[in-house]
This record gives sequence, C-alpha cells and structure tokens, in this order.
Amino acid sequence: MKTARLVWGYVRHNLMSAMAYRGAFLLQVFGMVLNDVMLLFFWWVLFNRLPTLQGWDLSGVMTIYGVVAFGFGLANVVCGNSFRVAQAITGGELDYYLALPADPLVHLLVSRMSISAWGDILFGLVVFLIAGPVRWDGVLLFLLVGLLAGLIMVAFGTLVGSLAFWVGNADNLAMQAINALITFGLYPVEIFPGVVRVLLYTLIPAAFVGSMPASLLSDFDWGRLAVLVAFTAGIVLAARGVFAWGLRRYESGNLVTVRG
Amino acid sequence: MTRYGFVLWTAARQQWTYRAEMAMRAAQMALFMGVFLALWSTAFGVSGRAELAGYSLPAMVWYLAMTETVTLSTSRVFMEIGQAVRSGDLAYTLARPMSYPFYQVAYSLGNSVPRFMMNLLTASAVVGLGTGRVAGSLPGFAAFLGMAALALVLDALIAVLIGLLAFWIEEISPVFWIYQKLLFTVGGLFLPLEMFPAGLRRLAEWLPFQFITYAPARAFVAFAPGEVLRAAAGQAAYIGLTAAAVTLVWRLAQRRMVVHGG
Amino acid sequence: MPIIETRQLTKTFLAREKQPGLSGSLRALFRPVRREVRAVRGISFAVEPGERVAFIGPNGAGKSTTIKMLVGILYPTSGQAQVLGMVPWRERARLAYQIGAVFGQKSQLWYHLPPSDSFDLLARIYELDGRAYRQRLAYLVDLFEIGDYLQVPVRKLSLGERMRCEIAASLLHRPRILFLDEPTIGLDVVVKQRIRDLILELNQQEGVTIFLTSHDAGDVEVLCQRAMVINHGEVIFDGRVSTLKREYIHTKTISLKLGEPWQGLELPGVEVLKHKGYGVKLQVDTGIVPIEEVVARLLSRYAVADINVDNPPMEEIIARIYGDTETQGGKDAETGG
Repeated sequence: MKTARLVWGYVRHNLMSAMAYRGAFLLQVFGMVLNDVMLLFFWWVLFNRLPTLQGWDLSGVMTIYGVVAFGFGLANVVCGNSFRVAQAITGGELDYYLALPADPLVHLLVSRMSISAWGDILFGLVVFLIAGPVRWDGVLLFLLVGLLAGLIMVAFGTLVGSLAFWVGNADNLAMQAINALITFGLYPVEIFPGVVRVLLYTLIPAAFVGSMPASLLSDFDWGRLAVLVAFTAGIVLAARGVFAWGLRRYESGNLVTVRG
Repeated sequence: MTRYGFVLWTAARQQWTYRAEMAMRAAQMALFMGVFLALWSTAFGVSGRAELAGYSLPAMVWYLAMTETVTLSTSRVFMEIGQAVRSGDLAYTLARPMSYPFYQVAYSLGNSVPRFMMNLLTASAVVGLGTGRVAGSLPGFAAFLGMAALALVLDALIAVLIGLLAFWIEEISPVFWIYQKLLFTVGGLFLPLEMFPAGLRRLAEWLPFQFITYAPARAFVAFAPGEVLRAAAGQAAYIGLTAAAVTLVWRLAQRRMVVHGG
Repeated sequence: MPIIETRQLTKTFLAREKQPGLSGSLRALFRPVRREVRAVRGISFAVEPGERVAFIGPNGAGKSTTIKMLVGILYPTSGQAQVLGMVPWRERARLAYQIGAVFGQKSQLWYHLPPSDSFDLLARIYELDGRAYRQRLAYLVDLFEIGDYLQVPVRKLSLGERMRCEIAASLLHRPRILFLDEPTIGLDVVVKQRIRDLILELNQQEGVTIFLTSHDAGDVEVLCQRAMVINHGEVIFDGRVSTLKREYIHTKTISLKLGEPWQGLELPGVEVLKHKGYGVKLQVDTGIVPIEEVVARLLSRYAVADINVDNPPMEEIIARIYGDTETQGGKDAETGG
C-alpha cells in the first residue's frame, strides 16, 4: 500500500513537471506516435508483396507492435529509470535512495518519467484497436498482456542493469541487452532459426513481450496465458532478488550527485 | 575552408578514442544484420521466388548492409546544438571567427568518418558470412563510397537544421525521430524503393531522404553509370538547398536569440 | 578612447509562467501565460584599454546577458555598445579575432585529445600564420608551464592544469580583451593564486584588458582595480575595488577553537555570531577595530587550538550593496513625496 502511494505520487509529480513545458510535452507525445506509426510502414509494404509470413499477417504484426509499444510505454512512464539502472548504480545515485525509508529499487525505478513513452502507450492502444475486430474482453486481455509485457521489460532492465554491481562498465552491456529485447520483440519469433528462437524464450525473453502475448490475443489459450503469467512473476522475483543481492555488495560510486 | 576541414579531422580523431562506444555500435550493427538475414531468408523462402522486385536474397541483404552503414554512421549533432541553445552555452563557439552551423556540420562529419569505416567492416563481415558472397561490384563500391560521402554531408546539414529549431521549439528530438523515420520509410532504409507501390515510389524518388539511404546502397548492388550520375546530381542539388536553408535559418536564429537567465 | 563602451544597453526576453498544481500544468499546456523579463535595464559604462574590471552580481542579475551582448552573441532590445570600435552584434566575426573568452565551466579543449590538438585547431580557426603560431605557443607554454601536459589527453589533467591550458588556448590569437567567467571555480587555494598571478602577468606584459565575472572575492580583490556590481539588470556600483572593500567589506569573521570555555572579549566592533562549547565564531567590524588587534587580544587571553580569519563571501557583499541601495531608494521616495 505504501509502495502504491509512492508510485502514484511520483507519477503525478513527474507528469506535472512535464506539463510545464507544453510545446515540448505535446511534441514528444505526438512525435512518438508518428514515429511508431512509421515503423509499421515496412510491414505494410512487405505484406503487399507476401500474403503471410510463417502464419503472421499485417494485422498480427500490428498486434505485436501494439503490445510491445503499450508495454514499453507503461514501463517507461511509470518506471522511467528501468533502462537506466546500470547508470544509476555506477553514477552513485543509489546513495540517495538508500538514505530514504522507501524500497530503494521501487523508488529508483519510479523517480523518472519518460514523456515520449506516453506516445507509445497511445500508439499501442490505437494500433491494437485498428489491427482487427476487437471485442470488449479482447481489450481487457490486451491491457493485461500489455501490463505483463511492461513488467517483463522493467524486470529485465533491472536484471541487466544490476550487472553494474559486479562488472565495472556495465552501462553499454545493459543498453545492448535492452536494445536486443525490444528489437527482437517487434518481430514474429517464428522467422528466426531454431537456436535464436530458444534464446528469445530464455536469455533475451523477447518472445514473451511480443509474439506470445500477441498470439494470445488472436488465439486465446489458458495454458499459454498461465505460462506468460508464471514467467512474468518469475522474472520480477528474480530481478528483485538479484538487485537485493547486488545491493549488499554495493559500494557507492565516487561521483557525488546533487538532486535539484 | 581549410579550418572546417581541420575541425573535421580533429573530430574524427576524437571519435576514434571512443573505443567502448565504437564496440557497442559494432555489436548493434551485427545484431541488426542478423535480424535482417533471418527475416529475409524466411521471406524469400515463403515467397518461393528467387527475386523480389528485382532483388535476390543476397542483393537484398547487402542493400540493407549499405543503407545501415550510412545511417548508423550519422552523428546526432542536433542534440548538442539543442542543448547549447537551451543552456546558453552557444557563447563559446560563437565568440570565434567562424560560422557556428558550418562548424557543427564539419564536427558532425568528423564524428561520422570513423563510425562509417567500422560499420562498413562489421556489416560486410556479417552479411558476407551469412550469404556466402558479395552482391556488389568494384565500380559499384567506388560509387557507393562517393555517394555515401555526399549522403553524410546532406544528413549533417539536415541534423544541424533540426538542431537550430531549438531556437523556436523546446524539444527537438521528436523532429529528429520523424526525420529518422522518413529515412526508414521513404528513404528506403529497410526496403529498396523498388518494393514500394508505384505512386509512393514516384513520390519517394523526389524527396531528399532517398539520396541519403537508397541511392548509395543501390549504386553498390546494381551499378549503372547513368543512374549514379543522376543520383549524385540530386544529392548535390539537395546539399545546395539545405546549405542555403541552414544559412537562412541561422540568420533568423541570431535575430531572435533569447537567453534564459544570465 | 574606451575599449568597451555601452549606452543604455537593454535586453528584454519572454518567459513562460506556470500556475501551481496539476490543473495549472494542464492549463499551461493549452493557454500559456507569458511574462516579460527585463534582464538588462539600460546599462551604461566605459572601460579603458588595459583595465582589469570585475563584473559581479548574484545569479540572474544580468551578468552573462551583458557579456553575451558585448561579444556579439546577443542582440540588445535597445541601447548601444561599442567594443574595440565595433558594434559587436553587427561585426561579430571581425570582433572575434580580437577577443578571447574563458568560461570556467565550459571547456574549449577537446576532452579526449591532448591540448596540443586543440591549440592546433584554434590556430587554424584564427588563421594564425604557422611560424607566428609556433612562437606564440612556445611563449605561452613557457609562461603557463604546461609543457608537460601538452601531449596528455585533457580528461587526464587535473582541474588546475586544465584551466592553465584553457587560458593559454584563449590567448593564442593575442586578443585585446579577455572575458573570464569564473576562471578559478573549483580550484584549491594554491592553484587559484597561481591562475591569478598568470592573468596579472599577462595584463601587465601585453596590456590585455581583463573583464572578469566571479563569485570569488579573492579573484576580485587580487585581480581587479575596478568593480562593477550589477543587480536586477542595473549597475548599482561602479568604482575602485578598494572603495568597494572600504565601503562594503568592512567585516571579517574569525572562527576559533579554544582549549577552554569562551568567556567573552570586551572590545568594540566585535560581535559573537555563534558560540558552542569551545567553538566560537566572531564578526569583526574592521572599520572600528583592526583585525590584528582582535587576533592579538584573543591569543593573549585564550589558549587557542585553531584560528581562521575569513572575508565575508561575495554573495554577502552583493546582498549588502543591494540592501543599501534599496533603503536609499526608499529615502529618496520619501523626500520626493
């Protein structure tokens, strides 16, 4: 309950400060929507030439984009520091959170908001709605799997970011891993050769943020939903555990940052 | 003119010292090329055809290697300009007897040169191993190098133009995203223009974006002297146009320079 | 003839205002409120060649706006200025060959390359002739004693070493005016002194006019003959630094650690600011009693473990000057009404 209040407090505060610059806010949100729309251009042209690709058609791929964008947007609006965990650790920012009573991981994650990510949320929702005929229960399921995708991204960001507790310059490595998750997540997992596919269900769990939730939306199955929920719960717990483990051997960086 | 050349040279040498960043870029390039190889192998397999819009599988993947080599080498000089405008730090470069925007163009190009060399090597290695051949000719390669240079100049000018927009709008990165996505789409970064529906293709051919991505890559995989000359002329025309625009916008910017605080 | 001259120089810009709260944010999103901010309000002054002027004032007083107009980066809203006989914002490029600038917080050296590379680049930018450049560089390297770091990447230099290179870099083209913005910020006392000595030497040898902004009272006292204090966009003091000191810096603070409890010191002009256990902080009005006398009396009366004499910080002096003019303005208004 206390955590929920902290999260909400930060979301509200961050949103307020973002809106102080109105032009910037609107431009970032709608710029991102346009940006995302144009990413679909590739698939639109490609599916003009080919009817389907390993069972995926344009509306299927649009659903993947919808889920990934919605999840990505949610992750970066609420937990804007998800993809900056390594930087926060090496930069010595953690000291600030450790000095406060709230859970340091949650506090670190929520203390920043990505403005453009609002555009991703908007795009994700809209693209899902126009991808194909949807019923109200489909919308509910979309919101659920979008939330799960977002949670997986936050947890994955935390996991690779926590590498900074052990490895010196983990910023680049973490950024690469996150880029890989998003890049691969946007493609139907079936187009990749077998070995890579295994990788996408394990080391870089891109299949769980894109193809798998999207396939649930077109072809629902309780079993696969259970797998997705279980995986999300697992990776969230793993992220918390690894971060807590790393925290124990944390040495503060020598960079003193003053929060303004 | 020589001083801008020297700015370029100095920037290139500094870029060369960013080893970690360069390694990261190489990894990213390898990742992209891997994804494209997988995607297009599947697509060609599904279609059951040897060619799509005149491109064989190796030609398609080499085309992408070349467009990516150019786009991933561009510098993001607009961010520095935007930041300098907002913080008022412009003071520094401005107290010098040279044109600020063209200094930034030279600086941006200097950053691009080492990246370009490394991207070219990485992409060629991955795609060469993946397809088992080189889908391009030697004259095509020479044409590619020349046109890639012009493409980078054009891109740097556009990036500076975007950076200067910071005088009027608070946040310029969305404008850059749009520009970047125009390269992705009508620029032919992910798909050669030949794949487009006819109407869209005709439109794309007249826009500046294809001169940055499509034209150099096309010259490599399908070298035709006439086509190369026409495209190079188009590049030169757009370079002239954007350079004029940069000069004009800079003049306007100076007039309305407003500094926050002081 | 003055080397810098301004008349009624004024700069106004627009700022956006935000109402408090989330609803205020939303309102600002769709209907922003704009407000005119007058950063510089009719400043007039003249600087003679070879002068060393401190241009001081609190943050947001209009210092950097003024300097930006003087180097031609900013167009004024109204008023005139001439620097080296040129109107800066009309002839910026020509003026740039004759002025140099050091901004303590913004480097002109390329971070990952050795300083010599940055020097070479600057030589090209200022179109220096090859031989003249090498001679000039040799002279500056010698004067600033930077020969050892010339080939070391800037990121590996200490702040003091970097600052010496920074100042040398801005002098390559023999500027006639040097704008210095916080040149000693972040440096330790010894290095600060060294930087000041170098700047003084340059001023004496080459007659470079120094235009300095700094929060460091030491910079002002040691480096400059003349001080201009600016606040709210207006010059509120323009005179010799000694006058500034006499009129406004007539207090010093003494921090003491004693070996015994504090029992007071009966001396006019001495005031206890803070007093806790064996630690005491005193304020001394040097217009009433010389600081040497206070220290002598303290040492003879108490067992002193540690003693420190400090000038009040620049910000305090500024605040004082500002306060004085406020009350004066009030008085004028009274007599007027």
